[in-house]
Order: sequence, then C-alpha cells, then structure tokens
Amino acid sequence: MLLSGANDTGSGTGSRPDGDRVGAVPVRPLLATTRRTALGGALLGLGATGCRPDRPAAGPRAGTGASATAAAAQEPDAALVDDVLAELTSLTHLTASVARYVPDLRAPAGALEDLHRAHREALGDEAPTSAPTGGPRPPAGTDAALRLLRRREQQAQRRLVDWSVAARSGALARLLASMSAGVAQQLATLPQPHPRGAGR
Amino acid sequence: MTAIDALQTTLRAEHAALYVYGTLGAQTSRSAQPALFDAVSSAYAAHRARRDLLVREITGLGATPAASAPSYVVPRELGTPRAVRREALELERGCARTYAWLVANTVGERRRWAAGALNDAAVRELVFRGTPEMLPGADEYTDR
Repeated sequence: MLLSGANDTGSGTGSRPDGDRVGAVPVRPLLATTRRTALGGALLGLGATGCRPDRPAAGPRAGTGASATAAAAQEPDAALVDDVLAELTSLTHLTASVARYVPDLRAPAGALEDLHRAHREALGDEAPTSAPTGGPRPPAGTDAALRLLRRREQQAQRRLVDWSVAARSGALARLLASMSAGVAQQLATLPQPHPRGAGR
Repeated sequence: MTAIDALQTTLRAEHAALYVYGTLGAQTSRSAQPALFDAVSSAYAAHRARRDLLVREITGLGATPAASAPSYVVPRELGTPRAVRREALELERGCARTYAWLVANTVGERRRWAAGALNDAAVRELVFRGTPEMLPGADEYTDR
C-alpha cells in the first residue's frame, strides 16, 4: 500500500473539488496581512469549516481563556513559519545576488527572487520591495552560480514539502506545498549547467 | 472529513482527468503532432498510475473506491493542437488544485504524497505551454 497510518485527516479548509470535472476548487484564502494574522487565519479556517485538528494538541500550557488557548494553538506553526521565512529570506538574498552579479542568469534568478518574495508575502512577511543588499557574492562563473542556485532551490523544494507535512494547520500545509510546486516549476525552466570540465 | 472522503474525492477527479485525457489522445495525431501526442500519452499514463494507487489505498482502508462516471463534460472544440494543449493545461491546473486540497485534508505520508502529486501536476503544466506560477494550486493567495 502506498500510504499508511491512521484514518485521520488534516485540518483542511476549502470546498471539495468538483468530481465531475477537475475544475476549480474555491478555497478561502488566508487573510495574511502579518505573519501572526496569517496563522490566525489558518486556525480560524480550521474552526469555521469544522475540520478536526490533525494531531493531538500539545500538552497543557499556562494561561486561561480564549486568547491563551489561541496563542497556545498557534505556537507550533508560528515556529515553523519562522523557519520557512528564514529559508525564503536566505533564498531571496542568493537569487538577488546571482541576478546582480551573473548577467547570463539575470532573468531566471530574477524570476526566482520574485517567487520567494511573493511566498514571503503570502506568509504575511513584510518583505522589502527593494533589492536586498549585503547578500553573499555568488561563485565566479555562470555554471558555478547555476549549480549553487539549482542545489539551493532543490533543497528548498524538499524542505517546503517537509514543512508542509509538519504543519498542524491544513491551510498552511496547502500553502507550503503550493510554494514547493512553484519552486518545482522554476527549476524545470532553469538552464542546466555544462558538465564539469566541459569549459564555458 | 475523513481520509477516505478526501481520497475518494481525489479519485473522482482522477477518473475525470483520465476520461478527458483519453479524449485528448483521440484528438491528437501521432504522426502529425508527435510531441503533443507523447505529452498527452505520458500524462495519461501518469494519471492512470495515480488513479490505481488511490484505488489501492482506498481499498486498503476497507472502503469501496468511487466508480468512474459514465461520461464527463468535454469541450466541443478540440480539433486543433492548440485546443488540445489548452484543455490539457486546464486539466493539470485543476489537478494541481485538487492535490493542494488533498494536502490540506490529509496528514503524514498521505499529505507528503499529495504534495508530490501537486508538484508533478505543476511541472506538467509547463509541458502544455503553461507558464510558471507563484502558487500552483493555490492561486487565490496571489490574487489578494
């Protein structure tokens, strides 16, 4: 069997896909104006759609009342989102640096930079609109920079899936998996470096 | 929603995808449009394998897999390679949305598998001349 585990579900949101046609699946977006409201939106979605939490809640925490409960429920995914944003920020710097210093890769690296910036914004990060400064200079040569770019983006694609699996909120899991798919599309269009030793 | 419900919904979507791809294959000439024919054939095979996995998974959970409908809605205008490509692209976008939905409604290894299927659908969109998106399968985030 492909999959194993208990007969449980994620804390998903949104309408069911149309079975008669692989059509649109309208799903309520996370109302992310800030990182915290992004997570709050995910959790609100969970309650509003009546889905069960996908995992048992963490142990008892200090505090009483609705706000304490919400904060406690939010905490596990808040740490996860911090990790995701750190990764996306690092990638934004790398891709901006490649776009700046490697003329041959300006277009694909710029597209990746836009992608990571959009992903940060989807998570509620107030990503700067101007190009980051102070990022590390990429390795010299188009192929070397391309290899680094591919390696880091492939790593990010895998990590986003891992984070999606780890997320408690189904809505957040969906967003992270979608980010992974966005990276996969860009990787599919990224040029291949010449084999080592072939010269360029 | 139970895992079985979520998998059944996804299976119904794969039944629909297979039906439509079968129709697209019938509209594509192997000799005149070999690249498109290969792309459609490859997509059909991938979706068939995915359908079979879903059937096995649902059966393994003790449920009866949802049956395919007798027919599905297919656009009338499929007489050109461009129309076939456009329909295949829309189909993959629909599959990406479906698997993104499955991600939200499963956990653990099922969720990982759904995320992989979402990645595959997103990349296959490019084969049918789709352009990279910011958030495949969850594009409402980019519409805000």
